[in-house]
Amino acid sequence: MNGVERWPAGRAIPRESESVREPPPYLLGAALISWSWIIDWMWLGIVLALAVESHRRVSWRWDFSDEDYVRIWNVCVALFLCVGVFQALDGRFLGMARAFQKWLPVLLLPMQLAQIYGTQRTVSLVTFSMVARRKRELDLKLGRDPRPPLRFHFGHVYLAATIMALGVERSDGYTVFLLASALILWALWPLATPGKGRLAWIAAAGMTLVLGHAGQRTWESVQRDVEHWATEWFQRNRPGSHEMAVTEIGEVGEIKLSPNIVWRVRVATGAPPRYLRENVYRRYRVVAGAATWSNGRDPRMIMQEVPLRNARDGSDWEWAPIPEGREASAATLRGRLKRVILPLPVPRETTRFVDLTAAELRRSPLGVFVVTTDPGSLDFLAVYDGDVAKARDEPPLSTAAARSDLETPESELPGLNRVLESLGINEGDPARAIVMRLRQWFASEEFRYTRHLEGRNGVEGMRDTLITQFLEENRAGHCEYFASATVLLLRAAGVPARYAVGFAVREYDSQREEFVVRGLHAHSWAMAWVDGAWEEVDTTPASWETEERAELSRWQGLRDMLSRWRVDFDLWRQSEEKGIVWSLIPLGIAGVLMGLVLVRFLRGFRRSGRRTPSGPASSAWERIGLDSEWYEAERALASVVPGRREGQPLRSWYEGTRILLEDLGPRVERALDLHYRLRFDPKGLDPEERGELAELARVIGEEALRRPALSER
Amino acid sequence: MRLLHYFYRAGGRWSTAAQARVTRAGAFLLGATVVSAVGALDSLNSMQYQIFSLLTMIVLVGATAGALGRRGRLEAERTLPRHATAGHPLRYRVRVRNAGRWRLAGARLSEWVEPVLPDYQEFRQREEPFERKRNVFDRVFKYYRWLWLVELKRPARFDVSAAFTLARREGASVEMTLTPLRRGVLRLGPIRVLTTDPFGLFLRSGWAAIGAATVVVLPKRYGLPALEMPGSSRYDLGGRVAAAGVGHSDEFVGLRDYRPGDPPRNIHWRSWARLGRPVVKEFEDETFPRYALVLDTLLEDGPDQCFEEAVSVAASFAATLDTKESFLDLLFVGPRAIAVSASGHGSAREVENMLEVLALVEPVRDPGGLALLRKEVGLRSGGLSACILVLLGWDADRRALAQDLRRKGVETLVLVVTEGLNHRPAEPGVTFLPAGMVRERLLTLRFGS
Repeated sequence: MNGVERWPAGRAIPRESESVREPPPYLLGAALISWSWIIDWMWLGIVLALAVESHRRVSWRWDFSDEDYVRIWNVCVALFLCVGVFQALDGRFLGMARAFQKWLPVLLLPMQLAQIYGTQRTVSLVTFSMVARRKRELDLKLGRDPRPPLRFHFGHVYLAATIMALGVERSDGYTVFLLASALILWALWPLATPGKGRLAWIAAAGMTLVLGHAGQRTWESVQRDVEHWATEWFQRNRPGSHEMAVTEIGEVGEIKLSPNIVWRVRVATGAPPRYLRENVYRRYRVVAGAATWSNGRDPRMIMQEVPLRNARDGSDWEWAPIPEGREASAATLRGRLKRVILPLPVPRETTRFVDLTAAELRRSPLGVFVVTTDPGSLDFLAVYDGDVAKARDEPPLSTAAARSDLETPESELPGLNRVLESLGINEGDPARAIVMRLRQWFASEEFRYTRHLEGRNGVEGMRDTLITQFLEENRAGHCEYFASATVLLLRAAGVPARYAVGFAVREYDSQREEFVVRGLHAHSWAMAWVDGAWEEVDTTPASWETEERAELSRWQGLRDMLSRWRVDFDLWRQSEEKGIVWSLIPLGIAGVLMGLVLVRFLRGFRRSGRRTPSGPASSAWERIGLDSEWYEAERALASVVPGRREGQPLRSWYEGTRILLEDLGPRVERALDLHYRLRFDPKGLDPEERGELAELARVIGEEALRRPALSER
Repeated sequence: MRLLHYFYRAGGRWSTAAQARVTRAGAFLLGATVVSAVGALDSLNSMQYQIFSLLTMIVLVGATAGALGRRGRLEAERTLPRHATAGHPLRYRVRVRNAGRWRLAGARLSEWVEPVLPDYQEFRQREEPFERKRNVFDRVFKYYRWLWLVELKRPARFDVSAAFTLARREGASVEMTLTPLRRGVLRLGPIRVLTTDPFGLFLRSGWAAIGAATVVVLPKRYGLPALEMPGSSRYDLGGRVAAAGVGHSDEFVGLRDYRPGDPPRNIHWRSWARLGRPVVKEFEDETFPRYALVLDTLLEDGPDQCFEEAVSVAASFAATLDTKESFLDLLFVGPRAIAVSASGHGSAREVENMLEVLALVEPVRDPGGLALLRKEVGLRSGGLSACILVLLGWDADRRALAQDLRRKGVETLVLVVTEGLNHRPAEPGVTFLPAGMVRERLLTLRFGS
C-alpha cells in the first residue's frame, strides 16, 4: 500500500561496510607526544608515537588469534604487576594508582601494537577478563550458545588511556586542558555528519570548550573550599595518631602483638639503651569508654616543638651537644616507618642523629622526636647520653601547662588515696622514697602480669574507675595497667609523673651482635620527676618478657630473616653508593619476568601456528624444488612432444607422451622420479641423486635437440 | 527471587531504553567520563579534573543537542524474501522517502521489535541448561538464567543501516541486515529513524511509516557428510535421465528371446532380422528409492534446546538428501495427527516447503503420540529403502520403533539428540548427538554406523 509508484527508488544506500572505526590517523601519535611532553619524557613519547603510527607505512601483519590477544593482554598485566611491585617496595601504596595512570601508555602498549600490527581488526571484550573467558568456554562446551561478545578496536581504549595519563601531574595553567580538548575533539571529528553537520559540530565544540573551561574553574574553587573545610574538620576531630595513645585498659580478652622484628639496635659505643622511647603523654582520660593517654591539642606544646638543626645535607641532626665530661653512647637503629610523620623510637637523651635522611626532625618539650620522611626503611646512628640519671627533658613546672604532670581524674582519686594510705605513703614524702615504695609494692606477689583479661574487668558503668579496680581488685594486667597506675599513684602522692610508650630493648641476638626489637616488645612505663630529673619507673612485673618470648612460633626464624632482608634491601636501594649495579637490577628482574612471559607466549604461538597451516611456512614449502633441472629438460622436450597443459600433473603428461618419446622414455621416467622426490619427499635428494638428475636432464635436452621438431614430423 | 526478577526486569528495560538513546561511541565516552571523575577528586595533585570537566561538558552539550534535534520522518517499504535461515544474516532492502519538511542528514534505519522480557513465573521455573554447573553466586543470583531467557526470546539481531542523507521528498533504497536467531515466523514491525547529535554520541529516534511484514525463518541446518544412502543411484553421475512421470519411465536392460505373451511393441526388429528369430527388448521398471525422515516431536519434559536441535538435524537431512533421484517423506506427530510431508522426484512439493513445515513444527506433549507414530511408520515401512529417525530420547518405545524398521529390512539411521555431554554407553546403530556438539558429531556420521 505504501505506494511504490509514488516515489522513485532513488539512489541505493549500501550496507555499512564491515570496516571498523579506528582512531583517526596520527591522533594517537599526537596524544603520545603530548603525554610525554607533560611528564617530561619526550624521547619516550616520540618512540611510542613512531611505533604506533608507522603501521600505516608497514605492510606486514601478524596473524594473531583471539588466544594470542589473551596472551598479549597477560603481558600487559605483567607490566602492571611490575609497576605495582616497585611501588610497593617503595612503600607507596597510595601512589600506585597514580603510577599506573602515569604509565598507562607504556603499560597498554603491547596490546595496542598487537591490535594495529595484527590481522584481526578488533579485539573481543572477553580478552580482558579471565572470568568472562572461562564462563564463555563453559557455555560453548555445554552448548549454551552464548551471545557473541562485544568486539572493538583497542585503539580507542589506548587513546582514552593516553588522554587520561595527560592529567596525572599537577601543573599550572591550561596546557593540559588545551591539549586534552584538542585530542578529544580530534577524536570526535569523524563522528560528525558530513555537510551541514560539520557546522553543527563546530558550534557544539565551541560551546563545549567554553563550558568545559568554566566547569573546571568552578570545580577548582569548589574543591579548594571542600579541601579547606575537610582539613579543618579533620584537624578538629581526629588528632594525629602520635598525639594520643588509646590503651587497651579495660578491654576483655587476649591482646595480640606482632612477633615480627620492628627495629634492630646495634650498639656502637657505650651502654645499650634500655628502652626506645617513642612518645610521652601527660593527660589520662576515658574517652568513649577507652582509657587514653594524650597531650591534647595544646597549642603551646606544639609551638614549642623545635626543629633540629640540620648539619649535613639533610642527614645529620643535632639537638644539643653532650655536656663536657660525659661519655656519649651511640647505637645504630634499623627499621621501617609506615607513615610520613611519626615519632621516632630512640634511646632517651638522644642528642644527635647521624645518617638520618628526613625532610624534617622536630623535638617536643617532652623529649619526643617527630620525623617527617618518606615511608620506608631507616638506618641511622643515635648518639645519646648513656647516663640516664641526668635527663634534660623539660622540668615539670617550667610551663603553664605543667599542671598536667600532676593531674589525676576525679573519679580515680578516692581509690588512689586509699591505696596510698594503705601503703603508708603521705603527700610530701621524698619522691625517691615514694618511687621505691611503689616499685616494691608492684613487684610483690600480689600483682601478676597477663595479657589475657576476663571477668569483671572494665564492666560498663565502671569505666571511670578502671585504675582503682586494677589496684584494689584484679591486680592483674599488662604494662599499660602498671604504667598508668604508677603514674596516677605518683601524681596522687604529689610526684610529677608522665606516661611513656615505646619498646623495651631486651632480646639480644649474639650471632649478629645486635638487639632485636619486636612488636611484642612494645611497652609502656612511668617517668617520675625525682631529684631534678626524669627517672624511668617501670613497675611491670619482670615476668612479662619471658611470657612474650614464649609466644614465638617455629616459623619466626624464617620471618625474621625475611624482615631483615626486606629492610636491608630497602636500605641498599636507597643508598647512593650502589651505582650502576642498582640501575641494572630492576631491569634484570623485569627482563627475566618479560622473558618468562615471552617464552610462554611464543610457545603458545607455535602451538597456534600449527593449527593454521597457511602462512609463510607453507609458501616456503611450495618453493622447494622449483630449481629442479627437470624444468630445463621439459622445455627442451616441448619441441619434440606435445607440451604439458596448464595444471596437468607431470606424471599424466608423461603417460600421454610416452609413445612419442620412444627410447628416451626410461630416462625421462627416471628423471621424473627424481624430480618428484626433490619436490615432495620431505627427505629430498642427496647430492649424488641431484647430480644424476642434472645429468639426466642434460642428456634429455641434448637428445631432444637432435630429434626432428614436432611440427616437422 | 521476586526482587531479583524485579531488578533484572527494570535493568532490562533501562538498558533497552539506553541503547535506543546512546551510540557506542557515546557509551564509551560516558564510561571515560565516570573513570576520569575518580581522578578528578584530587585536584590538588593532578589535572584530571580538567579532563573530567571537558568530558562532562561534551556529554551535556551532546545530550542537549541530541534532545533538541529534529526527529526524522520517513515513509518506507520493505522488500523481503519469503524465507530466511536461522543463524544466517538476511539482507534486504528498505525503500524510504523523506516525508518530513526538512532535509534529513546522517539518518540511519533500525528495525524495532518490542523486546519480550521473561515474566516472573518463567524466571522462577525455567532452568538454564546445566545451571547446576554454575558457581554458587550465579546460582543464587540467577543472572545468567535471566540473560539466557532474554536471549531465548530475542527473535533476531538487527543491524543498523548505514547513514544516509535525504533531501525533502527524496527517496532512497537502503540495504539492511538482520540475523534471525530462531526458526518460525519473524514479524517485523515499525522501523526507527535514528539521528545523532553533532558529536555522534546520542540518538534521537523517529518512526518510519511502514507496514508490518513477516519472514518464515527456516531451521538452522548443519553440514552433513556425503551419505551413501542405500538404494540410491550412486556413482552414476549423469548416466540416467529421469523422465517426467513417476514409475512409468522404464529402463532398457537388454535383449532376450521372444516368449509367448510378450507385447509385440517390444520386439527388436533389427535383431530379429540379424538372428532370424524373434528377439524382444527387456525393460525394468525404473524405481526411485523412498526414504522416510521421522522427527520425534514428543517432548515429555526435556529441554526445548534438544527439540530445536532435533528439528535442525531433520532440516539438515531434508535439505541435503539428493531428492532428484529419491523420495523423502517427513513424518512427525502434529498437534492432532500424524503429519506427512513428502518431497522428491516429480513431487509437487519442494524441499523448501518441507523446510517451511519444519520451521513451524512445535513440540507435542501427548503420551499416546509415540504409538501412533510407530503404527504409521510400520504401515509405510514396506516401500522404504531407508529411514532416518531423529529422536529426543532412547527409551523402550523408541527402541522398539527402530527394531520394527530393522526387522522389516529397512536400513535405519538412529540419531538421538541428548542434553549436553552425559556420556552414554555406545550402542550399535545409534548415534547420540549432545546438544551443542551436533555439528561435530554429524560430520563424522556414516550410514549404517
